[in-house]
Amino acid sequence: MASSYLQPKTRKIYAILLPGILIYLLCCFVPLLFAFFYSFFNWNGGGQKEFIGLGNYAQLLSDRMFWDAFINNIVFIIWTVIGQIGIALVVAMLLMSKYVKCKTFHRTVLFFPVVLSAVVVGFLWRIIYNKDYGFLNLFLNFIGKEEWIKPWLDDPDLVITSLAIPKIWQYIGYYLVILLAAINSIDMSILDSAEIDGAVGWKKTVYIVMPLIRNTLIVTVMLCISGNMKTFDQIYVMTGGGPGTSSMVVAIYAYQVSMERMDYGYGSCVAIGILILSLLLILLSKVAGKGRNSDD
Amino acid sequence: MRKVFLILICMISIIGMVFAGGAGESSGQTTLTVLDAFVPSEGVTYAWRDSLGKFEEAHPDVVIDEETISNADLTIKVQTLGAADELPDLFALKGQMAENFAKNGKLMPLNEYLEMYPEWAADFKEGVFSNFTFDGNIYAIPYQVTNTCVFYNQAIFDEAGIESFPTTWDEFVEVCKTLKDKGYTPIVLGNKDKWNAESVIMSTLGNRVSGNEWYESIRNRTGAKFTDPEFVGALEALSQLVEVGAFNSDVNSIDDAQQLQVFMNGQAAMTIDGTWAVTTIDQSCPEEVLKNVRLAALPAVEGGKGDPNAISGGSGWGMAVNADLPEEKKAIVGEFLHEVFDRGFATVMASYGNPTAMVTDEFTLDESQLVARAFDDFQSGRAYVPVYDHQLSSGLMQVMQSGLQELLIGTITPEQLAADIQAQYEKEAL
Repeated sequence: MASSYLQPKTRKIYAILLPGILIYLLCCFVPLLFAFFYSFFNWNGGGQKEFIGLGNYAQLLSDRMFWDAFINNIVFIIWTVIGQIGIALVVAMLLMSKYVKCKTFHRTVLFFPVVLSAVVVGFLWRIIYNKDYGFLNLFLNFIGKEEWIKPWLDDPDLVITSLAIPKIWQYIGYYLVILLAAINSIDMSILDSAEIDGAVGWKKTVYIVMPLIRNTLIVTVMLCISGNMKTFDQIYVMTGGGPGTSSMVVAIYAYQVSMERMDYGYGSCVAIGILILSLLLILLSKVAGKGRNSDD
Repeated sequence: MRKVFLILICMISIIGMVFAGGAGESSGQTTLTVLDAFVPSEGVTYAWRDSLGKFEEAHPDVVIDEETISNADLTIKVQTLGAADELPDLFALKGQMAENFAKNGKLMPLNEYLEMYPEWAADFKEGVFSNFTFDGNIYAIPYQVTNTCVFYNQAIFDEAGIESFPTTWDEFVEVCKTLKDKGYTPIVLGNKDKWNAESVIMSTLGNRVSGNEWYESIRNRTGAKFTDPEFVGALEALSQLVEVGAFNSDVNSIDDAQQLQVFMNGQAAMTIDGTWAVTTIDQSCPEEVLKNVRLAALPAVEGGKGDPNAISGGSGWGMAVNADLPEEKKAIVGEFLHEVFDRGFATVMASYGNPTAMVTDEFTLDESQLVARAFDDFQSGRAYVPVYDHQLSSGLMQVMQSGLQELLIGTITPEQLAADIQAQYEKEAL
């Protein structure tokens, strides 16, 4: 018979969960409801609110700026999924191999940027990208590749990539830790027998490890998508959505509409739009993950 | 004898109680919350600190709870607090926000205070209230006037063989080309925060081409359009500069502080900035560059309708009062405004070489304040043209400022940008 300590009464479980749920409701869910409510109004912050039904949503559907920003988000997500999870997986496999020494040291150092605030990372990389005294250009000069020097944050075609790199750099450690935990939970005997059967190097990664940690991979992809749909602070610090609107992402757009143009009604509508699109993307990645599952 | 002594003690304690009671009830500790943008090392900040110190000394019962943030952040913070009905008692207000705030009943009309202290009201210069006056009500006390002009490095001009500062736009473009060939950045601009190109260049350049009439018509919505040749022509003039590579290649990724550093390091021949830069240059510029700094107005544009000697300027910021100010704080806020933003404030500002919203007492500029002295000579007798972001709406400014970033790297044509601004202008008319 299970002890009452291990199997507390339902009442107790709810009582323990209550504070967390209350905070979540007050800080996340209630504001969401407010935003949903305001999204039906034409409201610029004053006393007068004009109910316009779905007018804001109609405007959103044909708002070129919003969809351009969304495409920027998608490009950003593609870069970061490949960069963050891809590199994290490679590093995780390296750390699992017997050739690498000082594994804890490497893991700690790689995890270090994760604890930095995005604003700090933004300022740091603004200095790295600086034209005159930036580390990147100095380095390229030093190795004699002056022709590679580009206006990193001023070229509209390059800016999203330039912004994705700090984001990738910052979060490799985060995904590395998750993936390492998953790989460590694989039974060593499977990996050993795979090696005996000749699955070494990248073959072991692709055919043995990746299928075994697929559920974890799906979770990391979902985390990566949701994290980058709401990306804001680092881009805001580095370019503010510029030059022009070429690094505008949906979160910055929602902020600008609400806070700079003082169009709170439409700003709320943009925020709800982001929510819907993010849910769709996550659903999509889930379905894609599941689809492969049924093939097995 | 003992009786007298007792009576005396009673009287003292009664008097004491009356005074203590009075003080406790009417003021005790009154707290005034203030939100401003008086960031270090600007002339206006020295004036503010000085005046505020005197006010606090004279009113020990008033606690000033002050929050200072940069002016780009302040604009957004004030708007957000305004929407949430959580404005502080006093806050710095930018001209572009004033109309919306006044219409929504967020601001207390200050006419009463100005009538209460007529000598104070008479000290303000003409026209400084214009950005804050709607339907006869004054909604903010302007505390500064800002101008913009071209700061250029005479040594670099000499080295490039340029004899004098150009007087026409075509010459100006040529000069930029020459400087570029010499290996200098002709004009350094830090437009990361987006307001810079619009505020310090376009407001003046726009006026050079369009003249005052077109702008008045835009402001009063009496028919002018941003797609008119008057405005497109000004954007084209800016485009000409972009085409010859007049600006630094990182124009949209450095900010106004970095812009000044490049100029002060002698890497750029010119920079276009506001009077807030005067104090910074005087205090931080290396000696060999400082002695070569000269001032000029943007050249005239061929066929333009504007006065080529005019510089942009006006009172873009003022101290506003929350419309929901509690009744008991009204008297002290009046005293605060009239004691802090007084002649003394203006005089300190002027002694750092900054133009003021008020007449000043006698002051002298130090020998070391080279740029401040130069500016004093430069600005006298010049007409002011309005700064766009002092007067036009926040929404319009956002479209114009983002668009100018693109224009500066040549990814949008002047016609397209003009059409985008016009679209926003028409949207706001509804």
